Amino acid sequence: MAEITLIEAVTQALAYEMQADKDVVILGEDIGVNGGVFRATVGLLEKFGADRVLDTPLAESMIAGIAIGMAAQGLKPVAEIQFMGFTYPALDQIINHASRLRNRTRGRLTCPMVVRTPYGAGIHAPEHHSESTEAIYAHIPGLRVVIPSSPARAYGLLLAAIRDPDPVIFLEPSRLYRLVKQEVPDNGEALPLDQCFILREGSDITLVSWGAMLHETLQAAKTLAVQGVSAEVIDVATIKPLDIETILASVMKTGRCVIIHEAAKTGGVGAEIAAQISEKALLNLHAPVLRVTGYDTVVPYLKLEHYYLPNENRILNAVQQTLEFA
Amino acid sequence: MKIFYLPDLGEGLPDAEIREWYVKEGDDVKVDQPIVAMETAKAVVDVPAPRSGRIIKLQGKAGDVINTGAPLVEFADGEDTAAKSTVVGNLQVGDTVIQESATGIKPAAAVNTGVKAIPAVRALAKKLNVDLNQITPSGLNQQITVADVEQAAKHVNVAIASDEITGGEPLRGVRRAMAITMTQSHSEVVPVLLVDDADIHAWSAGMDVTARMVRAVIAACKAEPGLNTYYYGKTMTRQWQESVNIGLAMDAPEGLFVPVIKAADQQTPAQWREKINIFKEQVKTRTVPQDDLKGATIVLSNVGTFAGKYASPIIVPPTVAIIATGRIREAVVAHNSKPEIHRIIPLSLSFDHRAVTGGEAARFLAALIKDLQAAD
Repeated sequence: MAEITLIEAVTQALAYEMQADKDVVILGEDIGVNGGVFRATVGLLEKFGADRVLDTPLAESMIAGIAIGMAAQGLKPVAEIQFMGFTYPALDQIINHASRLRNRTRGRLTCPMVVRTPYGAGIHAPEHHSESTEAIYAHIPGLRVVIPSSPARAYGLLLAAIRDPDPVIFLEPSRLYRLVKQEVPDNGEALPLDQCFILREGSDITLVSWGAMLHETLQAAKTLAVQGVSAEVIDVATIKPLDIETILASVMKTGRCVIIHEAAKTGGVGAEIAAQISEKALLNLHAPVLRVTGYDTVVPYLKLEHYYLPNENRILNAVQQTLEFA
Repeated sequence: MKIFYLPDLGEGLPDAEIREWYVKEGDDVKVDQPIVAMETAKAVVDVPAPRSGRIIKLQGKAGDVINTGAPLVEFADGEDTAAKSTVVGNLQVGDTVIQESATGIKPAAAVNTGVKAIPAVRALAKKLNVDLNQITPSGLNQQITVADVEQAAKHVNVAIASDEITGGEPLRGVRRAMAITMTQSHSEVVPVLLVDDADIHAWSAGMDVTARMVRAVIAACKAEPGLNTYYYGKTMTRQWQESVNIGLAMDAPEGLFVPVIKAADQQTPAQWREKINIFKEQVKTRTVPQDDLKGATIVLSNVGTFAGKYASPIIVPPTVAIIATGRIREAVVAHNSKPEIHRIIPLSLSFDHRAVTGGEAARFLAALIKDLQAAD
């Protein structure tokens, strides 16, 4: 079994499900002949034909609209938007139609579509290519927002997302696309949606993160271990609906929590998690829940990118503050 | 990088013509070394090697037109990144293989451990030095309240004022510090008092009493070092002290000062006297340096300046002993089976029985008296 990257795991999952289920179709800009801007769909046109691998015009709203129509009529479309910053033209279709098709038809129609898009900074890209605006989608009732953080979870969660009867926004951390490799058996086994994954067990503090930031978070946990601090690391994975129970169980054990995300701080998903912890575990808290996040500004270009992204030091500082509080 | 693709040599130029190769197949090149001259619609441009390595293939010969983005040269080694690259940005490529399980670690069932208290209560408890584990919670859902912590704090910290008292004045400064220290001692130390007299009949006139006391304490500490130690009740640890740092309790209108003669056992009587005189002056003017008020390993107090023979002096943790001298007086003593009138110094030794045995204390006091009774 080969060790593959996160982007290869995405391709593997798409190929598996297209083979297993003829209703699965993929569409997007340059995904066919070209193989996708990040090569996520390489080889799929040759394998499954132009009827199921559709190169579209440069029109994200149309891509989303076509996918909704396909989904409403029984297909399982997986739409690729080249970068998260390009999903905004599709928001009208996603919010006004995809998210509420089930509600609008009182359950008669569902919308089994997936919108795949790379997200996040750290790849030295120009404007609109480094967005981490997952909170926009997490705020919309009826949408599921899933973010893998490893090749194995990209594979298992994408399969689950395609099989799910409702719309899923599947955000792929582009910084992780080729950063690490992992053995991912191509066995078609999906991973559970709506569930956090505990990546490291600990007893002194809970570190909550998702996507590419887990890379720095796990690094910080290793450093803390050397300093004698035992950190539990949780990958939220599905940020909507939120598996708060796993997070609460951990925080009740540790009494301290730091949330790490690269999205801007204000109104981020970290705020939602912190609010729910204070609602449900206040009496177990030894210190305020802290957030280590990007700043409330447009993600800067490559020279300033590393100032924007939370790094291990910023995480360690927040942990220190939390430990010293009381 | 295995294949080097022709970059855009201008502002959106679609192609360029090979004017002249500077290298041939099989050549080793260094990064930035010019490998080919390309003629564009605007100019002739030298294209530098993007990396060092051996070139195994030149894609075209002089006069050929190469499209922007098409292969230009091929290196002997490296990976064909273009097939994996993107139109924008620069993906970091790593070879690290992660071992973590796809499903992570199975979450443990939620268990509610430890005390229940909001962070503000925990912070208050820390500030007031209160151990939350010792408190019986009175709040909703078994939670410890602010009132619980304040109630508990009254036992450990006199600084918490009682609500019922009206009028009066809160203690300040040295007097407040004294109150806190004494309360702490009272709640922690297990003191035992041992009293005796030293007969100083043998002394010549004009003897420096304080200096003799300092000398006697040092002698006693040598004989029985167990009283010149620190004891930490929480961890039940006894810490031996290398030098004898004698704290001298001095009375002042504002309260009690205890300046310290550091390493008194390594100084001469003249140095003690000089230090004592300085301290007296500094206490009067309240200018004792903070450093000189810290680090006593044993304390000496003279309660007899005005009145009082014996006392039960209070031990301040982490020290374990304090010696008080009473007013020197003449007393009738039995000497060689006859009554004689001798000068007597009454001595009171308090020791912390958690750390010091009665035997150690008695041997200490005996050594102190022996040194004190010597003629000089």
